[in-house]
Amino acid sequence: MDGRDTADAAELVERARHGDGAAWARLVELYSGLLWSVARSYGLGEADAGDAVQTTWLRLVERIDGIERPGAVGRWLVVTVRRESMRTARRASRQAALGAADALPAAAREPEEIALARERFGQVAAALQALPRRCQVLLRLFALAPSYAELSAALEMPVGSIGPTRARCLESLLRRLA
Amino acid sequence: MTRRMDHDDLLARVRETYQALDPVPAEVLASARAALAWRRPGAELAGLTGDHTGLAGAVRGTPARTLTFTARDTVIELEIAGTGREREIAGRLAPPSPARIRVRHPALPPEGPETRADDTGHFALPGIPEGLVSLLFHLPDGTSVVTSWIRL
Repeated sequence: MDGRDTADAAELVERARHGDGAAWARLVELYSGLLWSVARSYGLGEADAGDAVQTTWLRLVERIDGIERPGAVGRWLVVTVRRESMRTARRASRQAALGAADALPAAAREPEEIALARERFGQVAAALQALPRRCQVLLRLFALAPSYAELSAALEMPVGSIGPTRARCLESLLRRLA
Repeated sequence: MTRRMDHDDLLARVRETYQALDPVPAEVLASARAALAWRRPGAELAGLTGDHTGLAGAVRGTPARTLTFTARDTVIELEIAGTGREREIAGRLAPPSPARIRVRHPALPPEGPETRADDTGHFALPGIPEGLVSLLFHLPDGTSVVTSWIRL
């Protein structure tokens, strides 16, 4: 991982500008996990997080010709999904304040494979949940970010201070798993 | 095992755990892949420059939301009414101009509802489902303007 723009991302954006669906699909594959994690880290339910992520991709489509640094598209996406997540959270609470019974109740999504995964990953999941929230978010985004550039945008932390914080959070997780 | 490897291994388990317990839903991935089809390279983007909700000008006692989109030579103002599953849009183009208008909405077919702005630039779009919407304007001089996506 490093903080530089990636030539790969630049090329994918350039190809997507010309309508290349395969390049677009690759961008979606590279960044969807991170964007979903950022939206979930804002405390959004599944429906709202889905809205924020969908809006983020549509924003990239509408702005794709004007993106100044195509190689930094990951960072651009992260900044955008953060803004859309805050907007979604604000809209949800304003609707509640107005008393409109519009809020979409998130359906409990627990198909069998997730129940099985819960057994298999239960120990790590429990240890993660016992960490301070800041550590949970940092480790989740760290595990899913393709590079430090996206990570520092997602966490609003300078690249230099991520390493030490990550090490502290990982040590703390290790202790809980011991 | 070195501490460094401990950490890498642990991060891999963190990643697996989140991917297994809170995966990106399939429909979120599908809508992301489909997003590129909404690209309109020939249309100028009118970005959102105002979004206000208030009771002033409200229809039937519900709060009305006023959205402003600005392109280089065109301003589009929309008043949105309705809080259920459907919205009513009353819009105005400035400077006044007739236009052919298409509603773009991921929950509607790609060739979504169409309407026309009259010579004074006014138009109405009743019965638009809630959700993400963008309007595409074909102007008489052959150019087109598309609004930024907005959630109604």
